[in-house]
Formats: sequence, C-alpha cells, structure tokens
Amino acid sequence: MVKVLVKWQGQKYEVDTDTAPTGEDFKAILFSLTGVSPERQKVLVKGGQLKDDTDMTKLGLQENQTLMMIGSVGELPKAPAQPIKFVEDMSENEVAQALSIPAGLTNLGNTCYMNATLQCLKAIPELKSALDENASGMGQTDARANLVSSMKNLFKQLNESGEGVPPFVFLQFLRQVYPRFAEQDSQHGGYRQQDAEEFWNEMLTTLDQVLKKKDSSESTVVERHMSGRMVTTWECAEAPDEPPTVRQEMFRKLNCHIDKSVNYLSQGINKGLEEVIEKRSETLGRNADYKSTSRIDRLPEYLTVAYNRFFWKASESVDAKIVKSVKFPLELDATEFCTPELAEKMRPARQHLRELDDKKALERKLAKQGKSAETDDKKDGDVEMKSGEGEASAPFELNPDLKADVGCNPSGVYELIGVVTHIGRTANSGHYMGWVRKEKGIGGPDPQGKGIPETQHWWYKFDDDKVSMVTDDEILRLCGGGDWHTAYVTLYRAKKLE
Amino acid sequence: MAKEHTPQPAADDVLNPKTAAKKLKNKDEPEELSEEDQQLVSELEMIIERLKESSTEIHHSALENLVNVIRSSTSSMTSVPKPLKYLKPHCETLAELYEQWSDARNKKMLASILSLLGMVYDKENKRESLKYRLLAGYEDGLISEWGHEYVRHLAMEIGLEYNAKLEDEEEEQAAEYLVPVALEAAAFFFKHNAEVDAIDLLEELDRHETIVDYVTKDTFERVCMYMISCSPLLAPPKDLGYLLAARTIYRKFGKPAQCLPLSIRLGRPDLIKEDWDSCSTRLEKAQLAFIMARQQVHMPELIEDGDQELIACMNNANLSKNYLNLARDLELLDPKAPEDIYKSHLENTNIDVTLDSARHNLASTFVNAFVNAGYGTDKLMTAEVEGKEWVFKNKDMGMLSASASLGTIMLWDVEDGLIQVDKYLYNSENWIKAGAVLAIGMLTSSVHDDTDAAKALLTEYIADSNPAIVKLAAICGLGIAYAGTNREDILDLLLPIVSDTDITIDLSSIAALSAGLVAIGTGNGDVSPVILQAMMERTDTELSHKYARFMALGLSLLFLGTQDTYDTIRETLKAVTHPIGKQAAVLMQVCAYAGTGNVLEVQKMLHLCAEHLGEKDDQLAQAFAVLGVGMIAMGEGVGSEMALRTFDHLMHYGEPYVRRTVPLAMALVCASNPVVGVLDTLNKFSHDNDKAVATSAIFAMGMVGAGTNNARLAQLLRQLATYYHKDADLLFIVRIAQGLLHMGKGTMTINPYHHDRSLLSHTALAGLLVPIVAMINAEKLIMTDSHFLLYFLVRAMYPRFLITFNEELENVSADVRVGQAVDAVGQVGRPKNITGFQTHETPVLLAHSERAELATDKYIPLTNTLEGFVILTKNPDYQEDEEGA
Repeated sequence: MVKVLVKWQGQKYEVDTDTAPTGEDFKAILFSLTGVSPERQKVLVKGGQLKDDTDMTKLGLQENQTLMMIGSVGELPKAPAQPIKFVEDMSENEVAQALSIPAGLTNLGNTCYMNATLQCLKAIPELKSALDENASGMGQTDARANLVSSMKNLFKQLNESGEGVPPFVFLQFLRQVYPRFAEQDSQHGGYRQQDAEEFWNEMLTTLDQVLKKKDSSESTVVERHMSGRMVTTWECAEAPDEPPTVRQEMFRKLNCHIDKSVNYLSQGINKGLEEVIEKRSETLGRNADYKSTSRIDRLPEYLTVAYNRFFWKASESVDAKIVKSVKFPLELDATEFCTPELAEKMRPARQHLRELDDKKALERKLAKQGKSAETDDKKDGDVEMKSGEGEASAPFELNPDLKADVGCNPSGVYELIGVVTHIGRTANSGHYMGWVRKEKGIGGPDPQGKGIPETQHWWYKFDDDKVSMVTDDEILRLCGGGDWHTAYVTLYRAKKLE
Repeated sequence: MAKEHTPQPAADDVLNPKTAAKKLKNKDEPEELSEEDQQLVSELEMIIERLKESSTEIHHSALENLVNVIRSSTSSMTSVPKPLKYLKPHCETLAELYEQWSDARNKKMLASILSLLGMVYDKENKRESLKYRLLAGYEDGLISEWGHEYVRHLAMEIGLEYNAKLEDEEEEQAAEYLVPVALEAAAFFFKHNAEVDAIDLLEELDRHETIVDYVTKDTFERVCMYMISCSPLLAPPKDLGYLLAARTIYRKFGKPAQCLPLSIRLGRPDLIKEDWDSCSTRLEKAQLAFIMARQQVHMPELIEDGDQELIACMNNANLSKNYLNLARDLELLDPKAPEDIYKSHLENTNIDVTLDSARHNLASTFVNAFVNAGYGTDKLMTAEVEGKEWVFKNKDMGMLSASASLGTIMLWDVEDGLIQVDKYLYNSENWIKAGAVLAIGMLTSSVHDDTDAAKALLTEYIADSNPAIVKLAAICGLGIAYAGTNREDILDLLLPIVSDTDITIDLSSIAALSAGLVAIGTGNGDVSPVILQAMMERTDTELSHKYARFMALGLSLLFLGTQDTYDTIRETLKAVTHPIGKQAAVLMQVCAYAGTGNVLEVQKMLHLCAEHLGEKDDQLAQAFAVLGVGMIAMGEGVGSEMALRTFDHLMHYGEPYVRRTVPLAMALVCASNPVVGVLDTLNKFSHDNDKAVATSAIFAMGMVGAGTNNARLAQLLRQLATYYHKDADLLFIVRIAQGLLHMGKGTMTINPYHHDRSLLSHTALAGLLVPIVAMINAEKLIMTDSHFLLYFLVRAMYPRFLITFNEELENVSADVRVGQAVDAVGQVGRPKNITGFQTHETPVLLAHSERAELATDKYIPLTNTLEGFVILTKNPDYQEDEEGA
C-alpha cells in the first residue's frame, strides 16, 4: 500500500492509494477531504495532471510522495451584471456628462468677454428657468427676443454638450441688437474685444425687457432676483434749510469704487454709495455741491458687484485699468450698506446663519478630535449634547415682509458664486475668463483625495472652451494687484438659510 | 670615447627632458661640479683605470669597489644616481672590457653592472639591461641585486624582447630562453607585493597558467581579483584563459563558492560539477546551490541521496518565504494601492477621473502588479470583494493583463499562487482565462518544484482546441516558466508551433521567442533550424506583422553570450529576403556579444546606427543596433560610460528610429541604477517633440529606477504625469514607469548583473529585452493590445536583499556594513572594499553598486560576495568581548 500526501492550500492530506484504484476514485477521496468538487480538481503528478481513468498503481507513486492539488471551493468570480462602460467607449459628450463638467464656449474671435459673462449668468438657475418658460422661439421681428431665445438654446446646448459650444447664433443676434459689439478693428480687421461689464448690463436690460410679459404686472426674474432698491438722499451742505430729497431707485449692480484708500470690497462699495454732485439748487438759485448718500432698501438674491477698474485715459484714448488689489470676500455681509430698517428686519436671519456656521465649525472640530482620539465615549456624549443644544435654538422667525418678498436676500449675507476676470491693461484688450462655483453635491462628486479640506468649494474655470477645476484659494488670488487675472464683475448669491 | 662627446639627446634620455637638458648643461660646463662630485668622478675614473689594467685580481677588487660606490649612493626616485651619471662616459669602455675579459667570475660581475647601466642608458631599444642580465645570471636572487625598480625595468625589456622575437622569427621556441628569467622576475614580484607586475609579465609571455605556482595564501585574493577584472579587457580566447587560471588559483587556495561564479561565467557544467564535488561540507554545497539558483543554473543531478534541503536550495523553493520575511522585517507587508504610488494629490492637475477608464484601469493593473510583486496580497486582485472583481474593470486584452497580474503578485509562491489563479481558469471570457494561464507561467518562474506544475497545467492549454489567445498565453507562460532550462520536453511542445505555417504568425513568433528563452545561450542546434525554416516559409506580409520581430529575438536569444559561434546561422539568414533577415542578423550579433564589452563589435553597431536610411528602408535593424551598443558595453564600467556618451551623439544626429531607441538602450545599461546624470538626460528626452522618443524615455526612466523607490525620480514622474495628463498614451506609460519605480515596494532589482556585478543572468537579460524590443514600437505594441509583454519582466525581477543563514539553514541576524563598492583591484595592501558604509542587521537591502561586509568576526561567510542568500558559520576564534562590559 502506498500512502501519498496531497498538498492543498498550505495543508497536507494523507491519502491511501489502495482505496483509490483510479484517478476518479482518488479525486472522490480528495473531494471528501477538501470539499473541492472533482471536476475542479487538478492533481499534479510530475509534469502532468491526473486523469480520471488513470490507473493509480501505474503511476509509480512512492510512499509519502507529495502531490499538489489545485482547485478552489465556492463561487467563481462572475462578470458584473451591468457591463462596465469605459470612458474610451463613450463619445466626448457622454464623458463630459458623466463627469458633469460643464461645457465651455468657443472663442469666435475676441468674444471671451461674452463667454465669460454668459457662463456666470448661467450660474443663476432662476434665470435659466425663466428662459425655459419663455416660449417664444427665434425668427421674431424683435431682434432682442431672438437674442433671448438664442440664449436659451445656447444654455441648453451647453448642458448637453461635452465639448466647446460655438455661440454663433447668439453672437449674430447680439451684434444685431447692439451694433457696438460688432465694432471692428480698423487696422487688423476682425472684431474687437469688448467690455464685459457693459455686456453684462446690456444683457440684463434685454432680458428684463423681453421676459416682461405683456399686459402683466408680474415682475421679471431680473427685477425679482437680480435687482435691489436703493434709497438715495440728496443733501446740500450749502443750503441746510433745503429739505433733503429722497429718491428710491432700482439697481442691478453695486459699484466698487477704487481709489488709493480702497483695499477691500466693502470700502469700495461704501465709496460708491456716497457721491458729491454739482447741480442746480432751487433754493439757492445756483449750482451747488450736493452730497448723495445711498442706502439699500432691498437686497436681491443675486447681487452683482462691478469694479470700476477702468477709467478713460484721454491721452491714449483707452479705458485704462487700475491694477490695484481689492480683496473681495467669499462671504459678504451687505448689512452695512442697508437702511437701518432693513438691517433690523434681517437681524434674525443673520443670527440664524451665524449659529448655523458655529454649529458646523463645532461639528468639524469634534469630528477631527474624534478621529484623532478614536472612540472616546465621553466625547461622543459631549457631541450629542452640544448638537442637541444647537437644534434647540434653531427655530427663528423670519420677518414676514422679507418672507413675502420673493427673490430678496432675507439675511443680508451673500456668498460668492461667480467671477468675471480680466487680464490685460485696457478693457478692450486682454482676455476675460469666467469662474463659477460648483455646488456641493451637484454636477458630479468633488475631485477626491487631493488633500483639500472639505470646507473648500470647487470652482469651474471657464477659459473659453477650456474648462478646468480650481479651489477657493485660487479664486481669492483674483483680487488684482498684479498682471494675473483680476476680478471685474463678481456675482454674489444670498446664503441659504438652511 | 669619441662617441660620447657627440651630442645625441634623442637617444640619451628621451623620457626625461629635464634631466637631459641638465646633462647637456653639465657637459658644457664641467667645471661647475662640486668638490664632492669631483671626488666621486675621480674615484670612478680611477676604478675604470684599474679595470683597464690586465690583472684579474685588481679587476675583482675594483669591481667590488664600483658595486659599493653604486650601492652606497642614495638618490631620490626621479634623478639618476650620481655614480651612474658619472659612469656614463665609461659605458662603452666597460662594454669593450667585458668583451676582452675572460675570467668568468669578473665577467659576471661586470655584466651585472652593465645590466644596471643598461637600464639607465637604454640606447636605441637595444635592451642591454636584459642582455647583460642574461649574461650575468639571474638565479639565487641575483635578479634583484639592484632593487625593485631594476626588476621592473627588466620585466619590461623581457616583454618587449619576447614580442620582438615572436614577430621576427614567427616561432615560439625562439623566445623560450626568456622564460626562465621572466619566471625569476615574476617570483621576485610575487615576493614583494607586486603581483600585478608579475601577472602582467606572465601575461606578456602567455604564461598565465603558471601564475598559480607562485601564488600564496596571502596573495591569491588580490591576484584573482586582478585577473578577473582584467579578463573583459583581453581579446578572446585569452579572457577565458584568465578566468580559468583565476579559477585554478581559487581551487588551490579558496573556497568552492569562489570558483563557482567563474565556472558559471565560463559556461562549463563540467567545472560546476567539479566545484560541487570539491565541497568539503554539506553547507558549502548549500551555498553553491544558492548561487546556482540565483543564476538559474539548475543541476539537480548533482545532489546525492535526494537531500531534500539541498534540493530546496537549488530549486529556490524558499525564495517567496524569505522575501516575505524580509518584507516583514522592513514592515512592508501592507498592500499598496495604485493611488499610493501616483500620489495624485501632489500632482497639479485638478480633474480626476471618477469614471472607469479602461486605460487608466489598465495602468493601475500594472502598477498594482509591479508594486505588490511577490507579496501575495494587493488591493485590487486578491482583495475579496464579491461581484466587484477588478478583472472586469478592464477591457479585452486589459482583462488578460489583469488576471495575469496575479502572476506577479503571487510571484515565486507556487502553492498559494496556483490556487489564487485557479478560479480564473474557468472563466467564460477567453481574455481572463488566457491571463490566468499566463499567470501560471509567471509565478512558477525562477523557482522549480517537484511536481513541475507549469508544464502539467500549461500543456492542456497549448493544445489546438483552445482559443488562439489562450494558446498564446500558454506559449508565453511556458517560455517564462522554463527560461534557461533548455529542457527538451518543453521545446517539443513549442517547436511544432513555430514551424506550423497554418497558424497565424503571432503564435509562431511568440513560440519562437519562448523556445529561444528556454534554450537561451545554448545555441541549441535543434531550435535554430526550426526558427530559420519558419522565417523562410512565411510570406512577406506575414513577416511584416508586428510580432514577427519576436521570431528574430527568439533566434538571437539562442546565441546570447556565445560570441562567434553563430556564423552559419548568419549566412543562412542572408537567404531571407524580407528585412527580418537583416534584423535577426543584427540582433543575433548583439546578443552574441552581450555584456562582453567587445569594442570592435560596438564599433560595428555604431556604423549601422550612423547610416541614414531612406523612408522605405526597414529601420528596425538600426534600432537593434542602438540596443546593441548598450548591450555589448553593459558588462564593464568604462565601456558602459562610453556607451552613454555615444548615445548623446546618436540623439543629436540620429534618425527618428535611432533616437527613439536610445533611451531604451540607456535603460538597458543602467537598469535599476538611477544615476543622476542618466536621469537628467532621460528627463530631458521625456519632453521631446517626437512622441515616440518621449514614450521610450519615460519607460526608460521607469526601468532605470525599477525597484529603488528613488525619491527624485518619483518627483520627476509626478511632474510628467501632470505634464501629460491630457495625453492618455503617455500618461499610461508614465503610470507604468511609476509602477516600475516602486516595484516590490522598492525591494527589487531588474539589473541582470548580480554577484557583485560579475555574473550576467541570461534569463534576466532576456526578461528585459522582450519589453524593450516591444517598446521600440510602443504605439503598435505596448500602448495598444500587447501590454502583457511587460510581464516578461518577471524574469528580470529579483529581490536585492542579503539574507543570512546559520549552519541549520535558519535565518540568522548578523551585523553587516553596507556601503558603496570601491574598486580595489590592483591596489596594494588591504584596501577598503566599501566606503561611506552604515551598519545594519541582516536581512538588509543592497542598492546597485553597493557591497556588504560582515561588521564583526562573529561569523565566517561561506562566500565572499555577500549578496542574496549567504550561509554563515560561527567563528570558533570569536570572543565576545565588549558585550559583557
């Protein structure tokens, strides 16, 4: 009788070959020992495999010879039910959609001012839905209506496409409506670079006009969500008796006035809100200096801040640029520009937001501690308690006026969602780019594993048809003060209350 | 007397113009002599006068006087001793006197003095010194009566005389009379720590076999070292003669473990057997078995009585176990994911791919395979995730490479590896099945097991009934598993596929490659005709297939390192009209001289590279020639440095095909040896406008850094990943390079040289050549569907460790100093072998060009090359002194 050892998965099994005259029997014994079904057994004997009909006695096995068995128990790897789709198999459009990177706009010859602005405007969902509601198609008598509907189509195309979209139709209508955007370079031929802010303004005006429904008092999206109201008081120092004139006016943007003393956005806005103008005084009967002080009466959900970076330099007849650095915050509190009444109304909402922020910060801190100290029961208890307290103070009363006012900013706190930047020395030269914040959880997951804290937002950088992603830090570098891209128009959005 | 006054500066002292000038000056103004000198001159003149007299008695005393004067003069090394200087005018007189005299005793004495004068005033290469020495006799230490410098001069004259005689008379016997004096001189040298001079003298006289007679226990190490390092510089067949002589010396004094590497280099199994039999202990045999296993010389027939332990040593059976032990010691067991290697958060690109990109996943497959090579665990293939198996995240050939990657992960672990692979063998996807088949071949490479698992399993898949892709994988697998074994039964499986013209050329080509691998460097006469036949019978369109080059490579591998034995095959190749004939001829020449450093062959290759071919000509042959420059030169330090310089020229002036091959050739020369200069050059090329150049440069960077974890290179590659993040092809290659760099988590080498860079592993070189040849047309091969060819690298992969065993063959920890190797060849005394060392405990990693030596006398190693597996025996004389205190 010959006993052999069979190696399998690091163990040795002793098998007596006398009880197994053929290979099949031998495998059956192995099956009982290892649980590997005979058809999946591969028994290796000196350069060959044991076959079912092999006569075991003729193999010339020696006592305690070691054989090797290969075979696995259990499930074999199965192909996933859903075949995996690879990037390589998708069209470019499919890839971009899957990645949720928005498409860029092709530069059609100095049209970057338009591309950058459009990308920022596209970040306003209300505007987009308003465009979608606007049923009118192209081919109308009013060129402006055509412009708006081509904008709608363009936005739609951008959402569907993965590659750069050339805005031919839109550009054509734009130049039709505003011939000055069709200004040509006399020397070199081709269209000239234009001022992005100007385009921004004109576009909003057009939108407001076109979207205004006939015989309807309902305000448009531009009015509701993008325009504020300002109370301006005119006072004349030379005529103290004259009662101050108070006027209310709508505004679509705040101006950031830039001079030597301005280092921060809020300083610039404050400067822009106060003006001295010479005008005829009725009481004095002559021209006198009037000081106008503006305070905001209503804050829109989307606040545009334009930087007065360009001034007309007569000597060279260009819009020269002020390169000075003006720092802008990612979160802007507009309360200081408001009337005291509005500020008072907004107080509870602001308070609420501040508490929310504190709570989040605390949570993050605790999460960090929890991570470093692994599982510490005591601390867990603390977390629960504190978060419980936070929730208790949560309910707050939103001022009913503000609640009723759709499209206003009830808290006065804004966060930055879009920037149009300019690089170059004059408004009509250089290059514009659009920067739009990517909302967390929307448009695909954030890029992972780059060592960037979660608190940072990601931004899409629209350099015409080249779209890439950057972080908050990169955005803050757009404040100017050098020859890098400098913020020209910034778009703020009301901070969400929950 | 008239003669000496005629100025003859040229003949006088050409070697030293300064003294020559001085002498002239002296002649012009003899009155400037100092009083002392004047006295010496007159004394000498008096002696000469007395010699001119007729009495032999006076002659004798005068001669003794003269010898005394000469002996007692002290002089600096650079100037001629004064007595000799003033004797110059009397040279002729003395020579004449010698002729006139008849007294034998005086004659000898005078001859001896004349011999010395001959050294100082060697006129017109008459070799007077030698002439008079022969007359004066040289026995009984007479040869050294004038000191060391004199003997050296004499040795030089002997060499010159010998060669002159050979040239003149074309008869060896004519110079025979020189042999005794030469031997006398050699003996003197050996006695006086000038072994190098002795060896050079004997080599001049073609008497290197006699060296062994003079060598003593104290000198043999230095002698052998010198001879071994000389051998690559000598013309064949002398180089082998030197090795043989060195081996004889080792046999006389040394250990079998020192003879064995030489026997292996000589490629003589009979000598290997002799070494084996000369082992006095079983442990020594075990040490030999370790060395043989590293070089993949498998001779189980040497082992008597089925000694299981020795068989295990020779089979390399514990390679996996020991490698894992090393990993455990270095805390490297945790598997690494590709992202740990890419460190993409350090890259500056912001877009990352959250989608499944087949290309990206394929790169990850390879990175994962190389990084976790040999560890048996990883995060993609072996991690248990039901329904989310990594293989299915790959596409087509990617699936093959994915399941084959198990072969590297489970490398050398036959038992567990086969079980891991097994579950993919039943897959309905042929790609996956093929990958598993290939993996079987890979994981059984470099180790032998009793059951012959690779053959047992692969035979089934090579049968015609299998899908072509599975068959292809099985052929590759056999080639990888049995490389270097020259086993007939394996060749019998492969050769029918080579010669079968009914199947597609890719199968035949790969079969030819595998056959070449199996019979590598043997010139096997059964294999070469079959491959040649296949080349002749295939049509031109078939031979233009991208895989056909592997047929040429297979043929060439047969002649790897065989030097000039391939002539008949080369003639036959001329009959192949297709360009593949030329390709094969060049490649064969390259392979035959691989690692020899043969300058003439390098020049031939450079000539080929310099040709400017037209568009239509086949340029692959030229590419092979570029590889050849590197491959022939790689064996030897000076040669490979020259080759690297030559590559610069090729890069400047070469054709596109030459340029794209240059980085690959550099990689071959510096495999796993990240020299800063080479890295810089490659980094420059990696930004080349020609994408093919950039591709091969990036791949070359991976090869150069393979298994080193070189931080600088890692940084460069990350920059490249950023730079090429939009180019999927190049990014893929960057990833592969990153994987190579971190191969085995930085514990491996792919350099084919081992054993203190003295032994060339043929199989390892072949393992490098296959991917490199494929990289020449990366766009058609590696970057599309033939990336699995990269897996041939497993043949080159080996841990760069030093593991020590005690007498029971158990792991034992010993203190070793590890430092940069210093070339101590030909230096006197006991020079240090390493510099800048640090002391570690084994197991320890050795970088390229690093050496280890034992830090204490506690153990005596059985081999003097501390590399790989080394057995230590306890030193009986060792006393543990400081440990107690």
